[in-house]
Amino acid sequence: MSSRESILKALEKETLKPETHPEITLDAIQYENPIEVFKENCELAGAQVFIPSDPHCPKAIVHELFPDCSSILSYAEGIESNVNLSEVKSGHDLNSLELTVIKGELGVCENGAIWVDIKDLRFRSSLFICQHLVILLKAGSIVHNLHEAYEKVDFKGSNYGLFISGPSKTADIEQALVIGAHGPRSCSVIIEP
Amino acid sequence: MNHPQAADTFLENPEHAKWHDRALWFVRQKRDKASKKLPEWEDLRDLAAGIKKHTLTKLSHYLQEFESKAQANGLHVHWAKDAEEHNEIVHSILEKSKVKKIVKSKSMLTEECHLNPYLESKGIEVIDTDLGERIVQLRREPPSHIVLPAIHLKREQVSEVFHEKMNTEKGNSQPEYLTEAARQDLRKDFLSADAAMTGVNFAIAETGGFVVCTNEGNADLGATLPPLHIASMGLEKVIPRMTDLSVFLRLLARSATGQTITSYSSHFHKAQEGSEIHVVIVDNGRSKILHEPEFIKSLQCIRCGACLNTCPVYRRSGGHSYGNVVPGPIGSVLAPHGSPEAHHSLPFASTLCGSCTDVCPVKIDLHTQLLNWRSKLMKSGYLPKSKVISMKVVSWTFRHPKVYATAGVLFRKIFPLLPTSLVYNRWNAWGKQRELPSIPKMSFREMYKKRKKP
Amino acid sequence: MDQLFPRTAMAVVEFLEKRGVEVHYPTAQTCCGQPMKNSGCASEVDSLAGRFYEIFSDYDYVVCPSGSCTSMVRHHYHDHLSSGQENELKVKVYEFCEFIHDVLKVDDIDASFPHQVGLHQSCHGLRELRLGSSSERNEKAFSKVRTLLAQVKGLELVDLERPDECCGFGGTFAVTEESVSCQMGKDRIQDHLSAKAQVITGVDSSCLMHLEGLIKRSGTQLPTIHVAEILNGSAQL
Repeated sequence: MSSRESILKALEKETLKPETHPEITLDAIQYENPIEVFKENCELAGAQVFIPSDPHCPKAIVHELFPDCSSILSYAEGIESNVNLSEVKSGHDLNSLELTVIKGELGVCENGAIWVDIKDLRFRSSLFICQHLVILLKAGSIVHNLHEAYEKVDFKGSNYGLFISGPSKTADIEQALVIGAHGPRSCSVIIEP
Repeated sequence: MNHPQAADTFLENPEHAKWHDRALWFVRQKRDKASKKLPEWEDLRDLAAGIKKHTLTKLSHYLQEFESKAQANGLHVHWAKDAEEHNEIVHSILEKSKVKKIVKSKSMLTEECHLNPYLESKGIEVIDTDLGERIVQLRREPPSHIVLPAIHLKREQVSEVFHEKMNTEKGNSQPEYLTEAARQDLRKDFLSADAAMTGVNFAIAETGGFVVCTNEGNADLGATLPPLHIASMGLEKVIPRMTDLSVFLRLLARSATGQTITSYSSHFHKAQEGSEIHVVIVDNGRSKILHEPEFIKSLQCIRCGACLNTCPVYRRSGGHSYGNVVPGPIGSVLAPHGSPEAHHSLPFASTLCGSCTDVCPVKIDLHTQLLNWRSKLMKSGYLPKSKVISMKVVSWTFRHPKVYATAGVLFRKIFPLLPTSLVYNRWNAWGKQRELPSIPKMSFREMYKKRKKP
Repeated sequence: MDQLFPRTAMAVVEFLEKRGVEVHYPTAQTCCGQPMKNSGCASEVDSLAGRFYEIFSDYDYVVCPSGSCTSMVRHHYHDHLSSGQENELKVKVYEFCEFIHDVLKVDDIDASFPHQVGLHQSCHGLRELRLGSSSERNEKAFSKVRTLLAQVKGLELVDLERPDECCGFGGTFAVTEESVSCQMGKDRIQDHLSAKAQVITGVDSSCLMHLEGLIKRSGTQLPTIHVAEILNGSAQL
């Protein structure tokens, strides 16, 4: 008998009294001012948040934040990369990547998290190996809480998606919060109108 | 060493113990603050407990569903009946790809299986990349907490080991400096590793995917750089649907550290082009617990660590005093299954205050399970004979009220006459740091009998 | 309680009698069996639980000035009695404060106790009997004991840093894990001292006994008095 068979057999040894899967219907938190709350929670997670009124601003903001950026990889329209992806053979080649710019699918007020699921993302490591991360997010895509987020996200066809909330961080040394651990040192969120 | 002895040692440095207690209480307070921001917090706990309870009644079904969906996505799924087999499976996957070095992010399961020493004995270099795990790895000691591995260490101690092993500036104990040093050092390992290992916070039956929740970016850097990613999971980690994640992800980080969510909650469904993902499903005694009604709830655990942070005993004795990979209340409930002879003191390392039960996001009745363990250990003969005998004597006295009453009278007459040296000696554990209660002249029954009724 | 804290038990009797309750103290009683259960010697509890049931079967209510004993009878007798017996006891066994708050709905306490008082919320009473809200849960704050103490003239409750942390008694834990037990107790005492408490009160004599033992050994002046004695106006400092 394979281990798989013996484990399943052990699990099925006795039938347990059935318990229904509860329906996830609860009065989950709603916010009167979702964008402000989203911004606040992003900032609490260590991110910087910009809310330009001009749709052309994101490019300018990126340029202002990272003026002499030696290496930018952008998955967002309107922001140019200066990394030639066709020359990149593996994620390792992106070790000197300064900045990655991506688009978020939706934002969640309650925790400042942004769902990121870049179709045909060849180098997943580009989200982590960079020194800095910029996420563009449409204001209209912000939902109140995670239940709403999970209702909206389409997981079919998702190969690798993640919620990103702020930059990488750690408090493993005496509970002292340090922003910038192994992943991006900073996370800038630009909320587009 | 059993828990009381180890706790004695820990408390020999009362300043350090006080600092440790305060550090963990701080985390507990952060959890409180986060949980109180959600008016629906207790409803979430009910939901999470309900989802887990349901899942456990159909565990085989959901694991098979997970396996078939994962395989349809190109993931490789393996089954290990125990720790040894887990290690062998992991090793054979690594060996097949001629792996010489792996980077590993935090996984309590791999700690439970003692994977690191096993792989090292096979000539594979294992680098723990979670900062806390890396610190304890360099110090050659086990983690003392399931979420905050180095919570027992002061920054000076971290500085010391980093100076010794990584040549950082002697005496520089700034957390930012030390974290940066670890970043630079470990980045080289991420880039040169042949494979990566992660744990699994949740495996989703509906889609065959799994979720890894981290803050540092180490799990994802590891999982996305080398072409081989192995994810180890206890078989109780499977949940039925994607939407269930909304409940658990709202509870997990708030319970663990007081954050609303970790920096990264990565949902892996398919491997990156040119890469492989292997999932190892591990039993290691879980299928047995499933059929123990007194303990089945412990399989609901999502390893958040909230019970450790709130436990007044854990805070004052430290994770190492439990002698088990998972310490604290949940550790004391899980450990005796595997080796009661080694861990019989753990269910007694508690006052049964119930704080753990109140913070548990999945509503495990931890303090009741600890009580259940005490009876079970006694029945299996693990209690010291002296304890059993003294309880039998006391119980007999309580069944014979006249004997009890007489004993009371004698005690009250004789005890006050005894010299202090006889009362307070090394056999009187109560009297080591406490005065004994003063003995009243009359018992209540005597007072009651004597009084004039109104 | 019978052997070590007779004044507390007497305060309970007097308080109830003053309000017209017919109080009996069945002298056949000894112990509910909690120390045995907590030590793992559950089989010793069978006969003690049976005795408890027999002794108290004829009464409308059983009032107990101990949160931990009340909790034992209400929550942990299911393995030791028939379900009929267990259910019968469950509905009529009350901790003292719970009884006077929920059943008698007492609002005429005229005791006076003009002191700063630290309320130690014993764990069984708090988390098993739900005498009050616990700091871990997201629930509306309430406390039956505080509500009763609020009626006592001059009594001021101090604000503790950790209002419901365990004192460390835990039954045999106090002896088998002596160093942790004492550290927990000392920390509680320090919290009360920092909050400027002049007296520590609580609903469980075992907690108070443990704290008092530590206080006396340290030479600090900080008496411990059971809530029943304060409410009854018979507290002696």
